[in-house]
Amino acid sequence: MDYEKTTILLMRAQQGDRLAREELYRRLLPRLERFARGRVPISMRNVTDTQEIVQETMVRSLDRLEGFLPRGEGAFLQYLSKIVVNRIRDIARRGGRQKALGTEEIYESRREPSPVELAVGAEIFEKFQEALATLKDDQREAVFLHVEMGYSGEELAEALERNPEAARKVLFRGLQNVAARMKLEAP
Amino acid sequence: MSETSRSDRYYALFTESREVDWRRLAGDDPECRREIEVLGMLDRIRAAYRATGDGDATRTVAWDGSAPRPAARPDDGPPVPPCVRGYRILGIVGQGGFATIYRAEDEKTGREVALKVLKPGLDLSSDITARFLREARALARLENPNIVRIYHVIDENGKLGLSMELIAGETLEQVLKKAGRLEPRAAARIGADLAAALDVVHEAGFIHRDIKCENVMREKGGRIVLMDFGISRSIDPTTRVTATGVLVGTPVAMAPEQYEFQEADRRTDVYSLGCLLYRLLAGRHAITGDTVGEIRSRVLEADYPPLEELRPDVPADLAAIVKRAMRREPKRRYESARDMRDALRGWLHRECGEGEAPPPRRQPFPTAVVVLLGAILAVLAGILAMLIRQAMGD
Repeated sequence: MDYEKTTILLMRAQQGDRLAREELYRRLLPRLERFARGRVPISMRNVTDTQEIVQETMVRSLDRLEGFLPRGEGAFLQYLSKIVVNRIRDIARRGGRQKALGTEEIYESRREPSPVELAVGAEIFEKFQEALATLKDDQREAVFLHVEMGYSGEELAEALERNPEAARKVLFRGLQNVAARMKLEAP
Repeated sequence: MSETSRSDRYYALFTESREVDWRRLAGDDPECRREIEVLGMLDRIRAAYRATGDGDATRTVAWDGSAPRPAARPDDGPPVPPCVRGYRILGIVGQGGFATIYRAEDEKTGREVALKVLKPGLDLSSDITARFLREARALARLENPNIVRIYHVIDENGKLGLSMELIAGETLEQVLKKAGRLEPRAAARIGADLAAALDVVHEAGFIHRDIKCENVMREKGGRIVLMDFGISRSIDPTTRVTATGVLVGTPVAMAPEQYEFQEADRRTDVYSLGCLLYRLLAGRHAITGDTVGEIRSRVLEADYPPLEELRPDVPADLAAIVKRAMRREPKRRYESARDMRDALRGWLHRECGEGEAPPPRRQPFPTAVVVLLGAILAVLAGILAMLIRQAMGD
């Protein structure tokens, strides 16, 4: 199949095109798995669990595309990543309950960090997420795709449907704004 | 250089994914220090995703002022033999992403063993280490000629591993590569042995979850040995899907319930054993596809060619055993590996006069018989009551 833009595939999948659905699954699954592995706490690091979480998210999301506005690959991956993060939290909470740690609050205070949280500290990672949320849509998608999904410049241009130079500018602006917001919050 | 152009240069360094010592850079440029620190932080996030996403747990993700260290990868060359007390390393049998298997001599007994040692530097939590040791010790207690024997569990100065029986033979995968497919009798014998091994595994409370030709060895004398009980799988974050989503192996033997994210139980292994038997007999996987998505759809729809179509010389009752093991609904498969073992042994006994016939299964009373017995008892009770009334009237 020739490379077809994710937006087009999303629209086709929404109209019930099974091939488009399969192609989206094939194309985005490895990206989302990579993302999930960065977010799964070390204690839950079992590849089957992570794969299951991601595959389940993809299958269910692709089954319920009606309400989704197909704005682009970045937006769709962000949407999927949120579901994955919620699902990981949900499973971790259930694990916490199984260990009879008691309330969710107690669990939250004891929960183990994910690899990305270990890399920068949970609090700083949270601030990065907050800063990311304040960006304009295209900048947010660019920073998210590059930093969290590992998109190269070329892949970013493809995903943002812009030429490489324009995509790079959007990423630059997004990074500058993240830095500015995080600078403001620095002690 | 102006502050803006310096700042642009830092962003450019970041987007080009160069290895940069951000801490030193921040120290060198106090005016842009905060900006550089944020970029350093984003670089660490990016590196953490990359390290975990590549299945590369040895790669450092800590910002210690130095660039990320290149990770030791399996294809970097032969690993340095570990020094494990009581064993003399003789050579390498094989290596995967997370463990290396050595041929070694047990210095006490002089016996040659396979020494599976987890690679150093794996970032294992105490929970995972404890699980590895717990499962390895439990499996070491299993005794069955068709299960690889674990002699010793190694937990020494941060080194984790197992010493196991060294099997001289080839995997079923290699057997199939040479033979293409197997004769019904040979396949049924292998199936019966594996089902017997699985029964022991299940009774000990384990589910194998990865029954496939690569995990079964045939010794030179013909003994079939089930390998790899998932104790390494529990710590191995390598994926089963390549970066492009192309299938590399196991999904074709995964049961529908695994694709539906339901709990795996002993019938999940029964399904995978059915897939293995199908492959031995047909010389190809029952379910094939280019992507996991495609395979998943076919597994869920049980969309595969009937064995008898591909291999008309397979007796119908043997094909029926395979078909039953591979049924879509777990409750319609053999209830246990033992039931499947008995079915295969029964077939071998009937068709080839091999072994003893398995003991007949205790059949529950059919409903019709229960109803009939109930009716007879009711009639008898009525007659008895009538006779008593008559006797009392007399």
